[in-house]
Formats: sequence, C-alpha cells, structure tokens
Amino acid sequence: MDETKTMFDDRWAAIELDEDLYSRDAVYGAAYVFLERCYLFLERAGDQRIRVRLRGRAAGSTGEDARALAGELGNELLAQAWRRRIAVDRRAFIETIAARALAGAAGPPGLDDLLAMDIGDETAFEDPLGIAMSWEEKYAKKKPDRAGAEEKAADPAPEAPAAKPEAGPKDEGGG
Amino acid sequence: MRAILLGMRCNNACVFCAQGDGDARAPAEVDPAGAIAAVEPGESVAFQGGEPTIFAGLAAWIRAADARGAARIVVQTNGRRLAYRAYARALGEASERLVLDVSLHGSTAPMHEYHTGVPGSFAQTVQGLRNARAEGIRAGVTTVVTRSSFRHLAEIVRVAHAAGALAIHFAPAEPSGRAATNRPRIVPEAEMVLPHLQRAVAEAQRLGLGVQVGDRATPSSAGELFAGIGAVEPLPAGKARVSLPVFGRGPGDGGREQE
Repeated sequence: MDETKTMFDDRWAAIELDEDLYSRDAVYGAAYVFLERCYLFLERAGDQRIRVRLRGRAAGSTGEDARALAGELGNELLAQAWRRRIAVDRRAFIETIAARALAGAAGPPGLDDLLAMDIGDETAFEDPLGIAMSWEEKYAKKKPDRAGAEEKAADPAPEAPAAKPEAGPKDEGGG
Repeated sequence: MRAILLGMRCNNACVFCAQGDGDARAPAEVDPAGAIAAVEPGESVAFQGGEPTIFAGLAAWIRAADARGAARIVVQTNGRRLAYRAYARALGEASERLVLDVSLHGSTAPMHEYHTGVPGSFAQTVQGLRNARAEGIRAGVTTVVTRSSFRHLAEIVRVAHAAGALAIHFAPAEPSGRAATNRPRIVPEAEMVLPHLQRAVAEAQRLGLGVQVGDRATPSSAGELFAGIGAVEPLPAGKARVSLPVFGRGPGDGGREQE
C-alpha cells in the first residue's frame, strides 16, 4: 500500500497520508497554511490514514489549480513534519531561550521581590538591583569619542538615560 | 575624626552635591589600606565617598579599622545597598563599633528621588535603615535642607524615626559643587528655613531622636553618629558657608557643641 496517494476529480484533489509519516499535528499545521486559498476537508481514510480533500476558493478555479495546490500542500506537510521534529528534539533548548527572554523582559527583581526572598549570607555581596553601580555607569549618557564616531552608526542605540529632574515636586522656592 | 576618603563615585546624583561632578568618573580602584594602617587605637574613623557601599572591599576595610582599635567607625552612606538584608548583616558583623550616617532627603519617594536623581532610591534607603536596625547597627539620618525639602523637615523626622534612626542631622545645602551651579533653586534662605527647622527639632525631641543642626548636636552624643561633610569642591569666591542657627532660639536645649 502506498503511504501517500494523490487523486484528482474535476476541480478537487485528494491526498491520503499515513500517520506514521505525517503526524496529525503536522497535517493540521499544513492545512492551516492553506485556509486562505482552499476549501479543505480532513477525513478518516482507514486505520492510521488521513485523507485531505481540497479545492481552490477562487471563482473559476480549475483541476489544474487543485493539482498545483496539492503539490504545495505536500511540500508544506514535509516542512511541518520537519519543524515538529526539530521542536521535539530541541525542546529543552527552546524552553531555556524562551525563559531567558521572558526574564529579561521582566527586568531585575524589585525591592518587594527581594524582601520576599530568603537571601543567605553567601549572597551578601550580590547585587541583583544594580544598587552598587555608580550613577554614571547606570544612567549617564555615553559620550562617543572622535575615534569611535565612525563606529557609532553600526552600534545599537545607547540605553536611554534616566532623566535628571530639573524641577522638584515641591520646588516652592523662597521668594 | 579621621576621614578616610574613597573618592567621589556615587550611585546617587544629588542635585545639591557639594562634591560636584569633577571626580565622579574617578577610577574604581581605591585602596585605603594606608589610611587604615594609620588609624590610632581609640580614634574615630569615617569612611566617606562618594558612596562607600559601591566598593566591594568596604566590609573588609571596616574590619581592618576595627582591628586597628578604632573606637568608632562611621560609614557615611545613602544606605541603599543595605536594602539587601544579608549585606547589612555583613557590615554589622565587620565591627560592633560601626555606625551609619545615612542620607535621607525627603519624606516621600518623589521628594527624596528628586534630590537623588535615582528612581526607587527612597524605598531602598528606608529599607536599608530598617535592616541596619534589625542587624543592631546604630544609624543616624542626615538631611540636606534645600528649597524643595525645608517645609517638610518634621515629616522627614517622622520617617527617620519610623525607619529606626537614632538621631537626625540637618545640614544646610552648601553653595558649592552642583548646589553652586543651581543655587537659586537649591539653597533656601536661612530665615525661611528657621521656623520649619524649629518644628522639626521639636518633633525629633518629642520622638526621642537626637538632633544635630550644622555642627551642633543635642544631646552631644548624637553627634557621634555623623561624619561631617567630607570632601567638597571649594566654595566659590565670596561665598560663605551656610549656617542654620536654631539652638538657643528654638525649642532645643540651648545647644551644646559637638564633642
């Protein structure tokens, strides 16, 4: 029995797939990519077999169009199956990267977070809030030197400095 | 009092800073070993910056001064790093004779942080004071009196007391450094400050806090918590130091010179 079988009927194309070759999630993923361009129907074609029937959505779409779409669907099925295998094989790595990205977006822990932590003596000189950085290191604008002027365009934009307040909240003066 | 000066690197950028911007970019490598080795037994020592807690070696330096027999070791600090309880404990364990002179420049976060230029610094300083108290470190609070704070001195007294300070020191904003550059919006007229200062002194005494105004302390032992102004830029020509006459005219005890 062929593991993949393609059939054509008037304006329709049908592809039968073996689930050992293309997982159901890969079939869903590939079908999703074609929602804008095709009408798609997934059917049970037998034990461990899925049939995908499709027809172009555009008015006047032909059997040739269906044949071309079936070819593209085959390619997309392969891409989806491969991406899925990569995701499974590298799951731990991907989760680590995602966790770091989320932690970076959240910024360093605030004072409330620190108060909730049980910080032991072994961490007495750690500085997760960056308190021990000088104001210039943490906030001041970097002044580009002349030699580095040409490199400036290639450098990422410097971190926006904390605005030095120019007027007090209750700068009531004395006069 | 033997001052051990650690340069002017600081994690705050106070609008009134008498040290100015000149040496703010001084190298981090500061080695006070020679100054500590010169400490005589029974002498009082003050570590002054900049901000001493940004140096990784501070706890070791305190321990070394203690080993030299210093009678009192004052660290003049904004107290922010002591928001880490374990860091406060490490400093406290370095010497039983450690006292902190903590700068607090407002009774609220906006007021304090307007002066320091650092968002979040108020909560860190207040937490640092609390942690110092919890670790058994004696601490006083120094408040520089500016045009943005002089009407709120009594409120600052209450915050300092609640956070665990034993005394409060009101220091006039000196017209040097950054305060000289921005004098009209930093330095208040002494006669306008006086009634607020008298009210703050009365509030401190009601709460049992020692008070120091300028260089005069009541009781005189309150002065032991403070290090003094430290290194500053020279006053501009024709400018005199600011004085805040309150003892003898206000509700204080008549004032005693700091011993």
